[in-house]
Amino acid sequence: MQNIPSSEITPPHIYFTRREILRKVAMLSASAGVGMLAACLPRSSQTASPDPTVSVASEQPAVASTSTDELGGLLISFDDKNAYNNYYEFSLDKRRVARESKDLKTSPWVVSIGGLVNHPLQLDAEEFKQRYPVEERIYRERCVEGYSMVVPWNGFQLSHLLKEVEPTADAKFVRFETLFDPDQMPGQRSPMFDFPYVEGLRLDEAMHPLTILATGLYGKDLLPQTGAPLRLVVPWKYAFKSIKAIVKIDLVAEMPTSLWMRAAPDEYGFYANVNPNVPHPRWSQETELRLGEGERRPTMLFNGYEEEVASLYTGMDLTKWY
Amino acid sequence: MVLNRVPKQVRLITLHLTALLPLAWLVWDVLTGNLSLNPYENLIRRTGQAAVLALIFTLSCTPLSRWLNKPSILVFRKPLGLYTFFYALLHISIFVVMGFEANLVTATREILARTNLTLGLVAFLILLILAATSNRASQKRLTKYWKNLHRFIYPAALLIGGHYLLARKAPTPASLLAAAVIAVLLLARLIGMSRLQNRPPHTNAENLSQD
Repeated sequence: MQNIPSSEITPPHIYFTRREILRKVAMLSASAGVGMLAACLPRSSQTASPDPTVSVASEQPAVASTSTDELGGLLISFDDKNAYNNYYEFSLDKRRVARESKDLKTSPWVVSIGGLVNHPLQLDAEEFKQRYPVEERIYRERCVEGYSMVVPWNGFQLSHLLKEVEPTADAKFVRFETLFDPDQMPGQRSPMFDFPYVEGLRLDEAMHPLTILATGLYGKDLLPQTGAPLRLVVPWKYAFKSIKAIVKIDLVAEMPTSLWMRAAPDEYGFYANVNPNVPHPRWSQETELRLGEGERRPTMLFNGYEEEVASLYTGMDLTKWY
Repeated sequence: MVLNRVPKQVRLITLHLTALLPLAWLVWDVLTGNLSLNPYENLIRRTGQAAVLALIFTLSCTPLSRWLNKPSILVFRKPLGLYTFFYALLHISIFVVMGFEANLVTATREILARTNLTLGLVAFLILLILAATSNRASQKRLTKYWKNLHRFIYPAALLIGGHYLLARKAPTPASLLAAAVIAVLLLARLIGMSRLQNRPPHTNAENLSQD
């Protein structure tokens, strides 16, 4: 097929944001505390939030370097993204998550990175942003329930963190865990699920340059409803893989069992790669409703990141390893 | 007793106004653009919930009228059954039109491929037949078979309970509650039936109210 090694292909997120470099520099300096330039930046055309308790007052302007993804899909607005959330720890009602989660205490927030590593690490969520290069990533997000959106995340490659902790030779998988605190996350009292939320990636998936830990959205810190202070984003997998409010990252030898694998093993596998050819018992995966645009569109293999990630699954039966 | 003093017309008007509330609320939210970021999901969920609620009220009429010894309650049963069908019709229409761009072929294929959707469709077809034969003329034409035919509301209720439980990633408190209430109402029939066998045959509580 192609002889160019994938490492030499400019990833689309860089390719499509290169023209906006100046603006990005301004954003980065703003987040580094220089702040002055940020005041000169145009505010995005967001409308006022209908519920004043939902938006947290912040000095950071909500900006993204572009208005679409590389395929022309319109970004979901900052307010829309923060008003419609699938987050069972707070509510089963996507419109109530913002309200129910607004008091989540996200600072201080210690994240432990350990397990089969040479240099275990404990970091406060705030420290990640200084320690690793935060960049903007415009990613498609596809929910297994059949809707999708385009989101301008700010985050850093998980690979930077993993390289620093040095997985041992036995480490084959990465296991992520959400905060367990039923007082703050009342949904965790539900007898239906085995909280805390757990997710996992194969080590090579976790090391892939598209895999990020997100700290922000539209250049602003994440709000609790989108997974503050630190969440995973794996754009070629169904969005439930992108675990929120992470407190623990462990390198392990065995394939971790995620919350959804435990809850419904014949519906949710470990991989959960977006795949229109592998049907789900509850929802068709052939098409998706693009939120913000309201159009139904065909779902793409690996959510449109086939070129970047298909090689991770060479020789695997994706119907078996759903 | 209080209910008996209220004229039948007033009772029915009150029922219609109440049963149309979910629709009015829905129309209001459509007009004011308050259907969340995912209007399709919002409309599907709310019409489905309205249908389940109407079904529960329909199934409650007979046990309530017996338990409270108020045959006047039975006047609500037929309109409530028709509202169940009405909201189910809205529900499935939104599924076909908004979910599948009115393409009946792909919508049917999808329904047959998913257990929860198949349950819903079978229940809808039962409701359709019951609604179509709910008039006095059908009742006369079908004679004694009419009653047996309309007992299909019970399997329909089971299917609807299952459909609701399976609708989301996991059963929600609302769907669990609805399924439990439906189960209790169906069990009430079983108990009622065993009692009926020990009773003289003139009891007419299962018949459509004729008042």
